[in-house]
Amino acid sequence: MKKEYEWLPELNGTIPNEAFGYAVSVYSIAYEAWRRGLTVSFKNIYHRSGKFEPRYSISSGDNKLVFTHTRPNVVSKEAIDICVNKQKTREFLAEKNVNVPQGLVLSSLNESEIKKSINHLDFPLVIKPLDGKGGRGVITGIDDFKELFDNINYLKNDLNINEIIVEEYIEGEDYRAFVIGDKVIGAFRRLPPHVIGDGKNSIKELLKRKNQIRVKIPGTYNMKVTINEEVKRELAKQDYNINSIPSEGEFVRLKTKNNVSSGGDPIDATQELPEDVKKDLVQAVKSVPGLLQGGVDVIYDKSTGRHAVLEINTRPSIRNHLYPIKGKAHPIPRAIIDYYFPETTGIDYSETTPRYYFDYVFVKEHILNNRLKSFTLPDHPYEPNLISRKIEFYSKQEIDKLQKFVRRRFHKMLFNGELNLVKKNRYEITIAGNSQDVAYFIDQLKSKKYISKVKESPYTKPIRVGFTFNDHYIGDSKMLKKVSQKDKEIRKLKKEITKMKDSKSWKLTAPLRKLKNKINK
Amino acid sequence: MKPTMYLDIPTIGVTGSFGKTTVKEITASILATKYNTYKSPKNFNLPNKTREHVEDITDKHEAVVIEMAMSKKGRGKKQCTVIQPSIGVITAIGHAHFERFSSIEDVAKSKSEMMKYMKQDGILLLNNDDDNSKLINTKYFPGKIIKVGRTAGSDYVASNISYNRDGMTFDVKLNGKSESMFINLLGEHSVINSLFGIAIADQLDVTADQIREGLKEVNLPRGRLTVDNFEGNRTLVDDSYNANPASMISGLNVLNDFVSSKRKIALLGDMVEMGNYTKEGHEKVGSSLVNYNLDQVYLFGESSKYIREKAIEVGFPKEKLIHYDDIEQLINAINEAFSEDTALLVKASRATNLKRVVDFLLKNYKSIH
Repeated sequence: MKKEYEWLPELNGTIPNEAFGYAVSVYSIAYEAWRRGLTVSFKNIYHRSGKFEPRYSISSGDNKLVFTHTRPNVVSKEAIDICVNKQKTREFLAEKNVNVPQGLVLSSLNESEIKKSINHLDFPLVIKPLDGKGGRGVITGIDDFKELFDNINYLKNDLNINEIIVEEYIEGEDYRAFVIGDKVIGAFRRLPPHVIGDGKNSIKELLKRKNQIRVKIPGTYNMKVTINEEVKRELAKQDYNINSIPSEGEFVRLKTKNNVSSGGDPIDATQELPEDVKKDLVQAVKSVPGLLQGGVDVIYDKSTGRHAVLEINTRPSIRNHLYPIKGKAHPIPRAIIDYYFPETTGIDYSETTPRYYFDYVFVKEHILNNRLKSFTLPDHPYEPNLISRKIEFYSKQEIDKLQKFVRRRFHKMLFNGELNLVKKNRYEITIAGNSQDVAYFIDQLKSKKYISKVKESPYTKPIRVGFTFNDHYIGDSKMLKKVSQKDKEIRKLKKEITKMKDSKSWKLTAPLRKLKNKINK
Repeated sequence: MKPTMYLDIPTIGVTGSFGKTTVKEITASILATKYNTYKSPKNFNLPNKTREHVEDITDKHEAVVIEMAMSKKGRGKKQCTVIQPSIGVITAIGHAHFERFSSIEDVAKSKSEMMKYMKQDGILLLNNDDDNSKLINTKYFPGKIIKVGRTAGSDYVASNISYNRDGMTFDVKLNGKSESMFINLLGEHSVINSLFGIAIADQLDVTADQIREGLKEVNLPRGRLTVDNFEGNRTLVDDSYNANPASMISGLNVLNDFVSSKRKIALLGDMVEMGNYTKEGHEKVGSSLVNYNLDQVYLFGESSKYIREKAIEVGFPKEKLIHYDDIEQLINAINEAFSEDTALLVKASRATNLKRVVDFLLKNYKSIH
């Protein structure tokens, strides 16, 4: 398949698996700061706020910023309060002549009251919670009062939302732009969760395949589109159910809302937005005092040129800018660090030095589980004559002793990298350090009686900072053992079940079992 | 932090326990005859200063000479992270700043950072006369190594060394031809310092004539073995800027061998920053005194008492040694002793502040050129 996307080269291989998904936003910003030589610390605020959410600080001398997700603490509290409230946002933006849709907050959920209060708005309409997050409870394209009341009841009863906004539905496509300072750094368009038919497979099957790809992309890692009531309703609208087989090339919409977290596809659209829209986006962020940056949601209609700003997210996820399914990624982390630490602008260490990355397990394991209060990353290695190498060797030495030997040298010569046990008695070291030190280290390995077949080769992948020992071999062999054991058990069980089913008593008790199943439900 | 400056013009970094400023000055002076050369000012040699210096390097420059202190572990790495030398010089390994090191091997390691962090296919220059420089393990340096010295087998050898009042004359072989050189500095160490500059220049295709011309232009600030001649045939050898046992003995050699005055006196002050080498270092100077024909030796400062004790122990006449703790008293005594036909060597670390004695003499006596 032709590659339809172009992601950032600096993030290629530098984001560890454990930072995939939502964490990509945090990791990529922290990483950009770290590789420029800034100090990065992670903090656990669970003990204070009860939130399992990492805070991280980026500092250079006296200039220290604390980030919550993608938002630094220099964004004012007032700005956050305005943006959380969609009605206030509408008012502040309208004040500065930013295009916004007409709308209001429902003061009563009584049907006749509603009818009265919205008589100046025309269908189709949109409803959404006053302070919702991530597209939860946003329902668009409401064509009549019946649909409107049904959906208001759905928000009220099923989602427990009582403060509801009704606004005019603006024709066009949904865009999310990241704005900082005077610039729109990147914008993406969201295709609603959908599958494209091939004339052979059912919607269920097509979705399964789509999910298989989605879960592998760092930005949408593990974000499956699951079949729920909403999907079923949307399919019913199109006279489909999950087992229908759409024809080849047919676009089958699965949900009305477009959020990537609920299954939408991000497509780079930075070039699609004309300058006047971009200006309005910058103006939107400026309209909110103390905001500085934001993820601006805008509807833009290519055919009419009309647009309307819907809302501003003060700590938007940036992963969709970094991992569009189609188009070019935009360097949001770079823009953020450039803006807040302008003295580091243009520093790009990767050209003269091996590429490094840091572990995120610490955050996932220790910060988010309240085991550590805080920790600070080691400085990004930066000095002349750094090289990285792969060293393979053979040894029958006890693993513990060997590990100690290697680790001691890593510490002494300030190396970074990993020692991996790849097969029985077969090791591989990936290492970055001073070229003379690495040469000396290799000679030391060669001089040991218990080490043989030392082979050295260039290594260009990023190096994990610190020393890590990986026991891949043992892990795999244990796993294999477990799997084969399970297979055996399953085979045995199957045999027993078949035997049982063939038995007379099983057939006799069938109606009873059916009844029991019902009761269980 | 700024990215490292990697230049594609000859970038010379000079480090070592002593002689850095002199080698920097000599090298820059010679290179300036052929290249538009940037040199770091004065002896501003710490990483923070280097960071400022590199801002002054422009596109017009064709060569860069920077003095780099590597007087502490990690400092050399820092220096080369600011700007990476393509040609590195380690002048010598000695006991300067010894309070920061646990052994001479440690000092060698610290200076070796030049070799580890400079351009790996560049040129490293070492002092072949200095035994301690042999502690530098060059096994893993893939570039070119050039050794200079009087020692036979060096890549650049100084021979036929002679001297007069104004400086040193010596021969060095360039392109297979023996060339006579002159440097207007005293002492054999000045010959070695010149050899570094000559070797670098020769590697960069500077001709023997240009080298001679450049050596003529070397202009060092006073206090580094500068000679003043005063009325009444008085001679002052001022070496009050910096001191270590090796250079103190070298200074005494100059006074003893190169100066032709009837009466010779020396004023030796404390050598500082030598840590646990302080006693041994001063004693080394003390035991050397018997080798010289000196009329009087004045000592100043706490550590200089070790010089006195050792000198007496090895048989230097006790009555010739006078120790002072008070600078005013010292100045008076020196003023009295600095009679006609007398040569005086003033040598100590800068911190000992014998500059006050020198300033007094410069004010009180009319100099003759």
